[in-house]
Amino acid sequence: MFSTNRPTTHASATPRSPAGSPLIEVDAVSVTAYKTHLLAATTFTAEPGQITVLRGENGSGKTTLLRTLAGSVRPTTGGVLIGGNPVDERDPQFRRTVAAMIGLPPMASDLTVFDHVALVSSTWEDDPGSVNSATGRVLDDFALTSLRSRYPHELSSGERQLFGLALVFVRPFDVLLLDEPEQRLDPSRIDLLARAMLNRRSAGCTIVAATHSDHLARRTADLTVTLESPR
Amino acid sequence: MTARRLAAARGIWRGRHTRTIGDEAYTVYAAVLLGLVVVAPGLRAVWIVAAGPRGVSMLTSDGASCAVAWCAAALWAGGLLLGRIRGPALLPPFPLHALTSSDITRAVTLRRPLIRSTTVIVAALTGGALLIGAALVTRSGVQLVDATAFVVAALATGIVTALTWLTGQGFPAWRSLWPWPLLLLRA
Repeated sequence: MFSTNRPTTHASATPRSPAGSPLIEVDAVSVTAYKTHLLAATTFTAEPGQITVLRGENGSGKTTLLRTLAGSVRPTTGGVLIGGNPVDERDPQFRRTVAAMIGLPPMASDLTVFDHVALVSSTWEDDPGSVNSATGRVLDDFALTSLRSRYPHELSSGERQLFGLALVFVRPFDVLLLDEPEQRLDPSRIDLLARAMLNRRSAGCTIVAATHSDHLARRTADLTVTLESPR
Repeated sequence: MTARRLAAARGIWRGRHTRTIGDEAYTVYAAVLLGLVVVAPGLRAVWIVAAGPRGVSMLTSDGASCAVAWCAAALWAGGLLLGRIRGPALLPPFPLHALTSSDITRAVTLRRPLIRSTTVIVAALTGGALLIGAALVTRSGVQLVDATAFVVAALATGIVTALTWLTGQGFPAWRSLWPWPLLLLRA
């Protein structure tokens, strides 16, 4: 009934973790809602410090798979383990481990770019100095420093996408889920994004990103999972 | 540590939501108008009905307790249904997103709005019961002890209503059908 989506490992793939256990285990996960098949059975694992890129045409289930990993959609069949534990977005430890940007987050019209990023950072950092340095660093990473005093409605759509990325990159995580993070970005901004992803990979983070950008996939992917449209 | 992070986030949020004297004056103006145009006439109407001969005979009749029980059941069912649309534990979208994505326990994050909503509903029910209780004590010779018990029962009903409201917010959509078995159970 379903095709089975399996991964392709690239030559640049990082080795398995010393402990040998994958950080993300997706085992024959499929999603069906109201008799509509949203995701065909998909199996892959991702190691610590590895970037997995999800490819596939529109409607192939990339976003659904990311939502399943984030805990906002329950799989109809199969299961997901992150760090050896089942997905549970109500668990504070799970939220500490997993960060996600699946669509743009809500923004407040009367908070500046800096305020937004600092507010997110302050929910993770106890020390105000750490909040300011983390905020400044991530604004630099995404070339948003000159826009720090602007309000969301004063940003272009590409700048708003970078701003959304800054809101998720400012917080700590072990696993990052990104849904088409290259949307509305020009090639130089996609390079900024790729650099930020590679920096986090170097720090040991695992990233799963759905993308239609060949450039982003080429620059970052250790593992590619190509999803086929569910039938 | 959690409290410090929460306070810091609230500080940033409030820092950009400072209210001018004009904002404060408008709030006072709106509150005074609401009190004069809606609340005071409403309370007066409740008092006139409860303290009138027909109201007193209705409130002291045998069927009164059954009617009050029906009202309580309807409130709890309504709480479950309303919770699906607008729950009591709610913050503006951005702070809600930022705080509930963090590792701060959601019970801590949403405690303040929950307490605020619970206070409003408990105060409304207790206030209404106080008014009716006072009318019964002064016009029909109902014992003060009985009127006090009625007010306490209203307070407890308010707390349960807040809990059902919260339950409605937390439950998946299909379970919002639960109020109907609850009403049938009451019948």
